[in-house]
Amino acid sequence: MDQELNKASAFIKRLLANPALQPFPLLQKEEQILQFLKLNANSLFPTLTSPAFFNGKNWPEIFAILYQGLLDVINQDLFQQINDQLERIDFSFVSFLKEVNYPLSKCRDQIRDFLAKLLTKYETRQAFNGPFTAVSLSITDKYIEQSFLRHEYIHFELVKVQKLKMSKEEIKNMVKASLLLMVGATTATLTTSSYQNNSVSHLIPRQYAEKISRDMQDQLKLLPPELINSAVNANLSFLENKDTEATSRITGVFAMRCKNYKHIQTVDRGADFPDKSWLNIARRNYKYYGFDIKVLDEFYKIAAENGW
Amino acid sequence: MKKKSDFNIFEFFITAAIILVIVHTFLEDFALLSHWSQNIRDALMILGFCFDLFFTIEFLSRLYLAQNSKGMAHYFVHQYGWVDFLASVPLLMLSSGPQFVTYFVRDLSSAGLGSLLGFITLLKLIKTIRIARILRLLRIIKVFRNIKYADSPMAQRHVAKIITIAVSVIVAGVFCVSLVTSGLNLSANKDGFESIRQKYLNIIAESAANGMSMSRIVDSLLITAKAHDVVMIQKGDQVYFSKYNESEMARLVFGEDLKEARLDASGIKVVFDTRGENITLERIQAQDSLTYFCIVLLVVIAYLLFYSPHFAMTVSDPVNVMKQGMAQKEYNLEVKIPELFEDDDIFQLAKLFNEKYLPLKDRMADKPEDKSSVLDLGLADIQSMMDDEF
Repeated sequence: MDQELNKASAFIKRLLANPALQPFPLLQKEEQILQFLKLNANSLFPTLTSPAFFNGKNWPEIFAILYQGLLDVINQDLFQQINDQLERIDFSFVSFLKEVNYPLSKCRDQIRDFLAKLLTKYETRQAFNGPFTAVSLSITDKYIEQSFLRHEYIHFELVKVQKLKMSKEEIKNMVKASLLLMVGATTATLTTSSYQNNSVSHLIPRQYAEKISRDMQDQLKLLPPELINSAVNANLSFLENKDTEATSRITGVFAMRCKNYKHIQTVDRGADFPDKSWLNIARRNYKYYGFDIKVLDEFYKIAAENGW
Repeated sequence: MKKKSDFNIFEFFITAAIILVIVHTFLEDFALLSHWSQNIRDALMILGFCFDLFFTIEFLSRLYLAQNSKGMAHYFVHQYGWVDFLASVPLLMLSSGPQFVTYFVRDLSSAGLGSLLGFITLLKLIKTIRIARILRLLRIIKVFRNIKYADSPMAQRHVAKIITIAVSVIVAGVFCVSLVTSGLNLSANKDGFESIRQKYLNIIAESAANGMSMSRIVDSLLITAKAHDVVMIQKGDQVYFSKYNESEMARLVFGEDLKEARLDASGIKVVFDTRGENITLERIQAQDSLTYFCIVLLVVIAYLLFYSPHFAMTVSDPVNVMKQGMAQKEYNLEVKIPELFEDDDIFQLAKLFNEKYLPLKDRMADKPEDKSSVLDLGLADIQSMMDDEF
């Protein structure tokens, strides 16, 4: 079995090294390989069942070994990357919200354990792709930075409405932590399909958001409820929940921005900038995704001005 | 696969030859104007002949090969066969060919083959139809037909078409105008030679009437007339003055290089050199050729620098972005719409693409089903892997 897993890992590693996958973030690479294996089962099976690979096994057995190999290879990098990102986030804002001084490393450990538990499920891994890519790319930092320079809608919503009397850097870190934790709501969308919005896969109803928040608070006792609410409410539709926190609205936008993120080396001539294009499309689909149009408008202006 | 690479090498070779021939065309005229040595000019002339011969063979080969594929008419009309023809055969027949033959046959005649004199004169006459050289500028079209300078085949074709039209119109216009003016120049030259002849005749007649001795008449002719043009003064069989020795004289052609003024009553004959006048005419034509060459080159460069990017910006780039947006599921870049051209049909279409199609596509992509369609990895990508063992 070990030998077969080694073969599977070697096969997966070579697939991952394929240039066609290089523009994708890690979890999207995983999704690409999974879909590739499923789609090309008939073509791959004769080769993979040969003595050089998995001699005499049927396709479901081969697929299971390859999937395990894929998870092993991806997890190795994924958890390393999660650790790196957690180390980069300054959790000092937790003390500000909770007014209790916890060792920051404990907050990190709690989040790490929480994610490790969640990321065993395929659907959660899929849902984690967008938020984690947003954190990895630090996409939130540059937009929040610009919003604070502009002092317009987003700044007002964060400081005056949500009353986050904290520094710009602390807000950036809070949004990043929200992005990492928002995947906690995926369990609800998995188990309660009847509550899923028919048109948008990731949105959840208010009452379930509240329930999930309570569950998560039980699991993440060191983290302030404001942070957990900010993360879970990122899965709410702003159109139906006008009191959604500004950090949740921002988190929701960036998670969706990076859902199908593909690194573009050079933008084609005649095409608009990637972020600007995405935000303009999102502005037209804001009702569908339940985004706050004013947040999108401001981010769109920022992207246009900065050529992002 | 090998055939295709051989074809590419051949096309590369042809393009390189065309670029060289354009440089050569420039140098040939430049050499004349810059008084480069006759040896260099002769070498350039021989090189020009080789190029014309090469392109004539290329044209005939393509014509022959076209017979087996889409037909000669298709090659001639749709694959720029007419450019291949005009930039090769007429040049070989009317310009470099006669020059080349004249150059070598003249040496033969100097070796004693005087019977070739008539043939040489005929070729020299053909050589004076220098306007055929203008057709060489058509080769610029061939360069831009062969070089890939735009990503989009549509942009390449449109710009090549417009360059072809512009260059063809300029060359055709210049050709027609030159045809008329060169006729006028030839006639003016003929009149000029007649007046020189008349001048010599007058001097001889006047001197003879005054009873001057032959030596005085010679002095008078050399002083009064354009002395440097007088090649020989003869009375009867006796030569009183000769600028060149016998072998040098043999290289010159009577009727073309040399003309004579003979006063039958006195038996005095003056042979004068007309090459000076011819060279002046050639220089004027070379100057004109260089001007046309520069105009054509500037027109082509202007199209490439200004029209080609404009065409890309207003037509091929937006079309390419929309094409990619429709072909690739994850491609969601909007078309950039320049304010100046937002009323153009293409940008009206791009507006619909941005405002209707992309948001709809985005919503469709959000549906959980059909994930396989966003797959960037294909079987072809891992073919080499499948052949290896683990």
